[in-house]
Amino acid sequence: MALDRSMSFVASRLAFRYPAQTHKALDGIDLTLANGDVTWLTGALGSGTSTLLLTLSGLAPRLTGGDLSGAIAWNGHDPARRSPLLDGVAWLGPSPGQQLSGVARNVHEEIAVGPMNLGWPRARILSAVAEAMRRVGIEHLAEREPSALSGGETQRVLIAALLAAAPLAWLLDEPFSALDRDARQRLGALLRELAREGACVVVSCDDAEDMMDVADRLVVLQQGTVALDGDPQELLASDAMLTTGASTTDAAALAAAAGFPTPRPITAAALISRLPAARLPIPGAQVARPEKSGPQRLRLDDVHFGYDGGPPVLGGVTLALAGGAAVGLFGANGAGKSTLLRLAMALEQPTAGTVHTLDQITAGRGPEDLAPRVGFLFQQPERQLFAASVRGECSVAPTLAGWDSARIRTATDAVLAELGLLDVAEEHPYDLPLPRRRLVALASILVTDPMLLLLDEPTAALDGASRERVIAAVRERTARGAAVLAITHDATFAHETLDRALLLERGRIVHDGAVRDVLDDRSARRPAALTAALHLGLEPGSDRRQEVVDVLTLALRL
Amino acid sequence: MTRAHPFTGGAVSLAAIALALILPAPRGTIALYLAICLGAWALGAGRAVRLGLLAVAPIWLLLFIMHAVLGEAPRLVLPWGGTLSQPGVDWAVAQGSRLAAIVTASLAFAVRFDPHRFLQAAVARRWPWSAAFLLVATLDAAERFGDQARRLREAQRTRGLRVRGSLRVRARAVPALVFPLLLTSLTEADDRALALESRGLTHHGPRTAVDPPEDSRSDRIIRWGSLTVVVAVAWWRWIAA
Repeated sequence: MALDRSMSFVASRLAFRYPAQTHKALDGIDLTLANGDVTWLTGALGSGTSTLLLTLSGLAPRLTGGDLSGAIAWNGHDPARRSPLLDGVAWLGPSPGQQLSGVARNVHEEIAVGPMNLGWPRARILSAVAEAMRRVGIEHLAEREPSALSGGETQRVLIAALLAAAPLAWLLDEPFSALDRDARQRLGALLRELAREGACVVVSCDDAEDMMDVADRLVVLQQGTVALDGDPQELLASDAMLTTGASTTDAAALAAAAGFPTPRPITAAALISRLPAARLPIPGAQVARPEKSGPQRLRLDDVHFGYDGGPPVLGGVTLALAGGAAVGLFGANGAGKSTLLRLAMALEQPTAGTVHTLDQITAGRGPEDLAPRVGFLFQQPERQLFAASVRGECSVAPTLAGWDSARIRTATDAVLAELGLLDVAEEHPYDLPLPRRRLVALASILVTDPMLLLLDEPTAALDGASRERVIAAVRERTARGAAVLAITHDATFAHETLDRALLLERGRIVHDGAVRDVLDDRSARRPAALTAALHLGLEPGSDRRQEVVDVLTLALRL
Repeated sequence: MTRAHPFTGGAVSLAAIALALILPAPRGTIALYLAICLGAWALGAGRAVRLGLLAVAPIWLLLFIMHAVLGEAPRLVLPWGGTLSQPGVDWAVAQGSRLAAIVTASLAFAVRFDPHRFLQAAVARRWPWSAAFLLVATLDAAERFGDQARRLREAQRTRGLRVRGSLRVRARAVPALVFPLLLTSLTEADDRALALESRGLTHHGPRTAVDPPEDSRSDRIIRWGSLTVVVAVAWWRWIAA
């Protein structure tokens, strides 16, 4: 269905500085965003993509404060001094949970909020709500209470809520971050449809895999300026992306590391097609990763759980984790993954069955009895920070554990350096961009070297460099004997750090096996390194990125 | 059971509060308090009675000490020894029952209040959106504040902060929770403002009620009846007398 009007944005010499900040978040942006296109905004952490969306929507500086110079025009006019939705501009922030209206009893009403505020006739609202739910694929959530949804479900509900108001322009900040594989594909297709119908679609996203087939145009920001602007396929295949620090595709990064000349392959299939047909010499003996047999860190025996008055979330989960093991929890949004982690941390108690964390049964215990030997990263860790500085945040757990100040200082310096946060050690966590806040939350639990790490989406919305740091940090901990149980939709993180995968469906484990078995079209994307490894015939013990890079480098020399 | 229109509960609670101020104490106010308690139990708002008791019990104690124990003569001699001020006892019972009636009626309204239905009703009646939304947002803010406190408490507990146990342990945990809570609430308020603006909730134009609650004849009778009772009692107390 084509839109009867169109919307375009023009930014001229746009600069913006947040209140109490010394540096500009945007510094001289010149950009025209036309209807009918999907524009993908990306850049390294702090490059200004979120700020650009806020200024384009007219929400900054009107609501955020700060100084704006230069100009923004919507269809040639200044942004209205009222809700952007009234003028057909939909903005979605990076923390979906914060964007629920708070005035709706159920998902159906939540989606109706926008059209209700636009004063549409009731029949049109009901029809728009039904259509939006159908297009996003959330009809089954209609009667659910919005605040009880999982992160991914909330993200989908909000997209449907904006869709119901039939906007002319979309400004989306990390809309894929909490979505499962199916929902990502569905959202990608929806964005293409919206552009085809004539909408102007602008998406800030750090995951190149989600956007490379969706975007018509790629704009890369670097320190608040436009560093690159062009065709996504061409830019991803070039060296230019690497110099900006922005994330590229898994295959392009792999090809760059192996020394492929530009234009590089940006998909796994293209990468494989560039390999020589002759059988490759695979270096060294292929030894499978040994089964982890350290001391038991976590055990769940026939665990059942349901929230008060709600349906069962878990129905008979049994699993065990040994020291040194890194296990991934996979499954669709709402499958019960986050709940399982909360049970392991004694934030919830099972309704039946037992949970043993570090050989302690969790019944009658709380998380404070497990800290700091167990580290827990929440799904939205940026909302769980409470100290006045990044260093202070990292000092909380060791201080409560009774460490002396010298030991705390040494440990915090080490973990801040490990995650690339030393330069912001004295800053307030809430003054940092959202992805860096997430790194701060991770640093605050890694600082005490826990024996068990329970991580809920540890790499969500991180750029490539930060993701590499997280991967290295987690691998370092497992090498030292810690066990990891991680929920992730990041296939590269899963492939590089995890030994085993559990697939959760409707509160039950339906698969317990190799990570490579779940990294397919069914539940998560298969990373390029794994695709190449399978093509090259590398065994499960030798299929990680560096090993694949070594083989590819050899192949190129042939 | 069909749910009452959102305005009906408010009208009955307001009438009860007005009656608590008009009816002669202590007999009238005690009877009213008992009637409110019975009504709340019958309508499934028994929690309001319990919460009301918890809220007014310290004030009852204070009234008793200030007026009944330390009050003026004449004094009542108690069968087990000691004396109480006769006018002080009358005053404490009168004010205590009046206060209990007001608090319980307010809590019964709050416990039964459904902000979503109220907003739909307000939109359907073309009430000023800002006023209706302010009421709902205030109640929602309390819930959000509670959620934020819970999240922070969980985050702190996962880092090792003990918030359960003896009174001393709990007291020590309070500052660790309160200051970050205030700070994060301020930050959340900024995010919330962005969210509300982006969803069109701050817009002042006309709106459409998607699911307007039914305003039945019984609802209207109850509302008009409540008003009539208040006017009649006021007339009886102040004009007929």
